[in-house]
Amino acid sequence: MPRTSRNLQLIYANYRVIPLFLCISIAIDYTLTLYLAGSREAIQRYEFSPLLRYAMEYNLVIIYLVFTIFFYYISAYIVLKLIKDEPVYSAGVALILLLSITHLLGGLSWVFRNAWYSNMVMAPSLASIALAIASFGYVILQRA
Amino acid sequence: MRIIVSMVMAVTLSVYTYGSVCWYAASSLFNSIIQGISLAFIVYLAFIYFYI
Repeated sequence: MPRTSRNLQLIYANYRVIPLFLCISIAIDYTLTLYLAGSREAIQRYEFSPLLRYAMEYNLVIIYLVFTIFFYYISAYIVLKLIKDEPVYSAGVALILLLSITHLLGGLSWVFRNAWYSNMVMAPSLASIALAIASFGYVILQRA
Repeated sequence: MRIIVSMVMAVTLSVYTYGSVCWYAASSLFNSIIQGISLAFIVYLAFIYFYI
């Protein structure tokens, strides 16, 4: 048990590893989307992300996926690297994990396919926005 | 400065993700505008990051 805890602490402290969780959840999200949607028309009709719909329309899905995963990794890496020695680092890690959960639940929405579930997926997304704004406010107040 | 860039990027990243899961007006300009602006802003912040 102490070893597990130590491993978790090592993962938590490593700002290069935490963004990988986000990348994995995005890969799962889009894999589920492409696998469970069944057809190109279904994605263009029901998918929320306009960029993915655009990529589907012009056969750019692979490029879009690679770009998205790279984009999310770099963004999350920059966020965590710049705050690695600050008290808000834990909030940054929580934010990245919340975004991962959002993508994971978003991918599963193709399993359930109902409005109630899709509306529920917005909850962790809105929570991540609230957490980011609250952390920003905390930093501003601390420096004022 | 670095921590401010990080926080602004965190907010923008969460807004960008919201744009990809948002249920409302899935076929309208709403999601496109949210994602487009967020994407452009994150790229801008990434440039700032590499210059600070």
